[in-house]
Amino acid sequence: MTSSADPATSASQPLTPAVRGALVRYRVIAWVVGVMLLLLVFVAMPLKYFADNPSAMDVIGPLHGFLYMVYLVATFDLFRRVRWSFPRLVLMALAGTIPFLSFYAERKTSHELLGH
Amino acid sequence: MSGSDPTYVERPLWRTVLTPRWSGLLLLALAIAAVMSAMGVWQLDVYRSKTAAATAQRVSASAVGLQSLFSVDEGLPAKAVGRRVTVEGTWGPAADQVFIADRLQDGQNGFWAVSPVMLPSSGAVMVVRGWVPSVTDPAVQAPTGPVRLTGVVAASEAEDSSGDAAKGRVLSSLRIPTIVHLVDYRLYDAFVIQASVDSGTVPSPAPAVVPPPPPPTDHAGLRNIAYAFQWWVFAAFTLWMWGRMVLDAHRSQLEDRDEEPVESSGTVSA
Repeated sequence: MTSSADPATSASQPLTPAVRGALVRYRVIAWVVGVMLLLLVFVAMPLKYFADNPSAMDVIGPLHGFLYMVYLVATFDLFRRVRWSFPRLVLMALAGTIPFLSFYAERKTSHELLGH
Repeated sequence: MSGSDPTYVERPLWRTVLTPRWSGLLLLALAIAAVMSAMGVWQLDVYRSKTAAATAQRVSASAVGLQSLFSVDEGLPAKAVGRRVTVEGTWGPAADQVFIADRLQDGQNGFWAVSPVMLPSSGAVMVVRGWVPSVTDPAVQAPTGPVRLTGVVAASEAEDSSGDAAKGRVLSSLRIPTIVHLVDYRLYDAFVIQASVDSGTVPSPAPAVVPPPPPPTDHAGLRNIAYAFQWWVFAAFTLWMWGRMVLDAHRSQLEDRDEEPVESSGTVSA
């Protein structure tokens, strides 16, 4: 995830309120989707495929799908505002589909933009 | 924007779109959107086949006693509609037989003959014995004596025919609320459409067997419908993203040109 960080968005300079707002939205939804994905993979899927009980899957499956859409929108919004490279967008979108990776991507993104 | 330089005409959007970078990304976005749309169709098919299997299971389930599904005191439970049942009892009074008018069978207009079977416990159930071309057909002769038959549970029809009660024994729709006023015993809140008589006298000639109505749809796999819509939204979002990115790139190119004399920054290439 070594993005070609724009000089305008490097950590040394303060963020504009618009970028800051987009970052907050991204961080919140990244955390929510990360937790939902863990519930999906480590609770709902074992219940469905090992215990033959799809009730948790029926709720968490579609819910995670819709929240992931919100995650994509928030990620794309942040991507536009800070002018990341295109591969960075793809990686961040994919990070929302792999357990634990969204937490790492969220930390790394916040670190880059906030500089601490 | 380019007012200062007369030779500097604003570059049209389609020239940006036609660059290899954005045309290539458009093809990629279209390909991804096509795959996502196909995934949505696949999920919809999963829902359809799950629903068809659940519905078929109701029809193919083996026959059970009517009383085991629900009692004469209860309203008809939705899960009982379309189930195959056995009814064991005695044919009720011949005078309580009713006819339902305007029933098509093999393209021919006629009547359904509906007779009560008195149940040993209490009450009775109205059995659609079959179809006759006219109410004077010899097959309308109501059977008597003990009977054991197999049929399919059917709900009352929606159309109200209460006005028909005064017109005698020919009703315009199959409704328990209407028939319950014509008899002096308690009735099950459902009909049984007779498929076969397993024991007891079979009238000869007998009314033609009525095909049971299609069973109610048992929806299964609603989750897959949600997935299908999600795939289609993802597909639309992919194309929308491409559009936003083209517009962003187009605008920043124009800005770059305006700023070019001041500062040559080649970093914003997106």
